[in-house]
Amino acid sequence: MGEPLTCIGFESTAHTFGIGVVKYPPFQIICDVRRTYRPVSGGIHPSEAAKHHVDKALEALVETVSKFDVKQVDVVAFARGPGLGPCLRIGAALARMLSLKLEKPLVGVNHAASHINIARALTRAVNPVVLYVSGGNTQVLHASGGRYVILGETEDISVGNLIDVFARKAGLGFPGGPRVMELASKSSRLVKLPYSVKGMNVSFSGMLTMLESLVGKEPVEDLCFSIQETAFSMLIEVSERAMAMLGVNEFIIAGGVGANSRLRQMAGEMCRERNTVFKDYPVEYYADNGVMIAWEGIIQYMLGEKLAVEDSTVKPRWRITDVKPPPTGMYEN
Amino acid sequence: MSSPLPQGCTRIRTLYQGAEAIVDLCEWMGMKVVVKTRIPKGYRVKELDESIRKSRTVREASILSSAKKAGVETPFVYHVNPVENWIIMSYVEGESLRSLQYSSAFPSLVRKLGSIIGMLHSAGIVHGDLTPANVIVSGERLVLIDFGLGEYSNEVEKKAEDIYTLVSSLASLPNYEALVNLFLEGYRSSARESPRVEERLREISMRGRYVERELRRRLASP
Repeated sequence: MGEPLTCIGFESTAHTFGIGVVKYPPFQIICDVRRTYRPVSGGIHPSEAAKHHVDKALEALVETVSKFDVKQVDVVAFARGPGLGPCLRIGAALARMLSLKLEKPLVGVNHAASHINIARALTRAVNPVVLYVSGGNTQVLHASGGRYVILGETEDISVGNLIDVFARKAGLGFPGGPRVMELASKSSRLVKLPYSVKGMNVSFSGMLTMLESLVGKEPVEDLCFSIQETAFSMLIEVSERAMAMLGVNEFIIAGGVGANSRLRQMAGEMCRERNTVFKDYPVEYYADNGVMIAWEGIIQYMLGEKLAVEDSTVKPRWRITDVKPPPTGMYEN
Repeated sequence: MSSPLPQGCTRIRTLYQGAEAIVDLCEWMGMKVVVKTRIPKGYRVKELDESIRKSRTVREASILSSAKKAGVETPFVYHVNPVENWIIMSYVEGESLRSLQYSSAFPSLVRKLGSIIGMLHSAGIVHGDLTPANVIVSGERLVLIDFGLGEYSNEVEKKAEDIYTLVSSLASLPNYEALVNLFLEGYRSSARESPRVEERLREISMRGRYVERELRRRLASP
């Protein structure tokens, strides 16, 4: 085990601008600063979100510096993709600047891999099936043979998108998740919605179309309850199928939709019934943050990844299958 | 975990336990039968869980029979219970096609499977989980089993996905290209819409959702 490494990470893929600092080994979170953009109306406007990040970046950096001496930084990481181009460029620009100023290596990391690996670090899950669910993503994944394998995914829109678009149509604002969860807890009446599982894939577009036609006709609490029950059952079903197929006995959820307590409750129940373990962790780390970027920065740096500033353009459509997972044993410290 | 069996059934052994169903080999009315039971899922609200298990049980039994009408060999459905969600069907003696993948008969069996899938698709049925493990070689006959993910569909996309699942599962074999060609040859001999399905198959292989680059390349080259 070598000298401990300290990495500062910049997250700016979508609505959150985050700066995090992680030290390893042993895994230690040093600093976690976040600023979140809330659209006045509608969903995320990429250029407005980027403007928010520019406006808040200095403030967030000052807060970080007040908590931690940046001279201790060994590696500078940023979320290189996937995400919204205008937003990604803000974090990237700051990371390049800091890397040049401190004369420390620059690492561009994958946002999805970062979600998965912060979950693994916080739960010490060794070989889990991962359900990655966020505003833009819905995938069931597993790391094996030195790469990420996508076992199943949505054939159209993500579950986060389903919830956000419904919430907008129902006048609940953005992001929709917290409001939908709150209203769902007030109902136990199931409105029948399309349940679309195809092998290990899911599809939500039919459910969204139907929901749009039901807004105003059915009580909004009942619709919120029914979305959660139907959509989350689909996600847990494909996750269970993946666990059964691989013979894996650990399950984690990564990404912002994991903040929904009903989804995590279902995950726990599914695992309990098949004598496996759902590994949960503090809810604030399901959301986008800089800490996960810093941690993934350490992983990728240890795997030998480094970027020259001139080659560090962002990758808005970067697929996780092109990224290396951490070596086994990484989470034993 | 074991499921309660239908009355009059005695379990010989459990053949398979998947995420959604348990498949038992049983004795029933003096015969060897297979009992497939869809188990309740505690994470789903009861109302949703029961409706999903019921509709899938009924659909699977219906597809097993419809496939037979189309000339595709499947187990006989003896009994269906859409409340307890089990199906009693005939037990097919034989070996799985998967266990024969290194035998000399395998290529001709793959061609034959192609023509069977062509008949199935022409009848508007897709299997949904088409792998050699779900094909039983029983003497001269090939019998398709496990229609748990099957559907009634005439969509070119779904038919192409069926074939894609099968060719993906053959990808590790040394004579992979020849096997795919044999399968397609058989498929063409009986499928109504073969050119459109094959065109879509090439498209799917380029999407690369699950596949490795190598497999994508091999499928894409004519």
